[in-house]
Amino acid sequence: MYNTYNIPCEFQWNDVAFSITSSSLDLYHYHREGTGDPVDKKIISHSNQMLINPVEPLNTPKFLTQYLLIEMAQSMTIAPKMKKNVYLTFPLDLGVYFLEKADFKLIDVFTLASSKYTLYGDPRHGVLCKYWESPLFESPPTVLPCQEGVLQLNIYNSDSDWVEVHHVVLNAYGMKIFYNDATVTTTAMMEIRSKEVAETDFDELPPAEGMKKSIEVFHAKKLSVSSKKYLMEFGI
Amino acid sequence: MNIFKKTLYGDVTLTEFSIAFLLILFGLLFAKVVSLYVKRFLKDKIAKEHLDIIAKLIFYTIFVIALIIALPFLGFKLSGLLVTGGVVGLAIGFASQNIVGNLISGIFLIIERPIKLGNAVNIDGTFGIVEDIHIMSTTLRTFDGIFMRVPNQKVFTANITNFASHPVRRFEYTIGIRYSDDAIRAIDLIKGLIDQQPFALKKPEPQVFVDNLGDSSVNLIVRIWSPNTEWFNVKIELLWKIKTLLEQEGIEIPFPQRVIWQGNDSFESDMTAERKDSNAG
Repeated sequence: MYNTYNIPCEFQWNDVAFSITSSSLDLYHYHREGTGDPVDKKIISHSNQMLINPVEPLNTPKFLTQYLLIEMAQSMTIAPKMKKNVYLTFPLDLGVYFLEKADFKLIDVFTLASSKYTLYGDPRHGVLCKYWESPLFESPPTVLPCQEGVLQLNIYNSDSDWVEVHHVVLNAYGMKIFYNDATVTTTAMMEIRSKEVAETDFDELPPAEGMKKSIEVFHAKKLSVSSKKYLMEFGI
Repeated sequence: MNIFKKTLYGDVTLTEFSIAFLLILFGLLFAKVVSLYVKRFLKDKIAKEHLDIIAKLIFYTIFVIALIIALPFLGFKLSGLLVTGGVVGLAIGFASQNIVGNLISGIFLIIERPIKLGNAVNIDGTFGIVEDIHIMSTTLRTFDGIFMRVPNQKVFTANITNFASHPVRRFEYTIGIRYSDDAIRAIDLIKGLIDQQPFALKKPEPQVFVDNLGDSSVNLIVRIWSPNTEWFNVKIELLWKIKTLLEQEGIEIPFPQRVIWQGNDSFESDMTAERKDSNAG
């Protein structure tokens, strides 16, 4: 599903249909319908290759925030100084890229997952986040890779007290997404500093060998990211 | 004869000249250091072009003070200057009080930053988007696309409502349904619609509840939080969806009704009619 394709090509995933056709040499037509507003684009390029890969879940229905809040369906209580790997799901956006030699151009982003936003913190100082609710898993769950990815969360409670965790907030500018035919994954760390404060960060290494690295939207836009970490200071 | 007591011109000795020179040099250095420090301190708080103006203002103010202190050593009598300067200053002060007021207000606006570029604001009854904040005035683009320049003194003293200061905001509907309709079902339907709208925030949680029993309808209040950039679109989109869905489900928004009792009707017949009306909604 996530791969490089030769143009012309067309796809039908769930209710979403999209295609790239060429009407003449170097002139291509991209069309997508079934989710959000229909998209029609003309592309002029020497190349005839496109790439579809999962990207950060921040671009649909509109880019409003760089933060992703994953609410755990069941809260988790952690003893002092304990470390544990748990698994959550996260929503995926799908990026369609046009490949031109070593360069790539993002031409469309859409999602098959539901979208919702939430506020982390209070209305004055809080942070707008993309919202997702996930069950908590002890091992990597099986999910539809076109809709959801698997987040491996390495939690460490550095506090000297028991702590209850309800959600995790991540700065998705630093999100590194890896995929193969069966799954899409990313790894993040959460260091709990107190009952109300934790720091989160993404890991840049693939969780398993042989996984391909996604071209993320923020990477494709060549944005310089000053910090990937996020300090959760409005409660965990 | 000591070289330092030698007069250079008039009564000014080399010593006095040297002191004046050192004072001016020190003033220059001090002005430079203070303006640099202010620049560094306010770097994250003020836009660069405004910061440059403030830094220059501080630099020249300190330099002029140093110059005034140094002038007596160079043989200038400040008493004469003070009288002349006082009169001229008074005249300039009266003439430029508005300009100075705007300038000072501008500096405070830039430091305090109650409004920022791109914010949707209401300044003393004028609604618009902040296009620019200059040192003397603030320019707005009203929602109907008209350019408006407001002097900073007015901006500073006016009541300002900044609609974009916080990341999210709440809006509210009042929706009346018939007395014969199931209010709990109406609430569930509205909550379902809110849940499907991505920009209706999960938290703070939306509220839908029966607010009061009106003359003609049971009034539901719907409160929704939304990102401050999206709230208006969400508001107009959701209202029509709620109206359409309620109608599809047989829940109607009633017109105002009034029961009129005729003087010759019996009490029994009036009560029967009233019951019938209330059942009809």
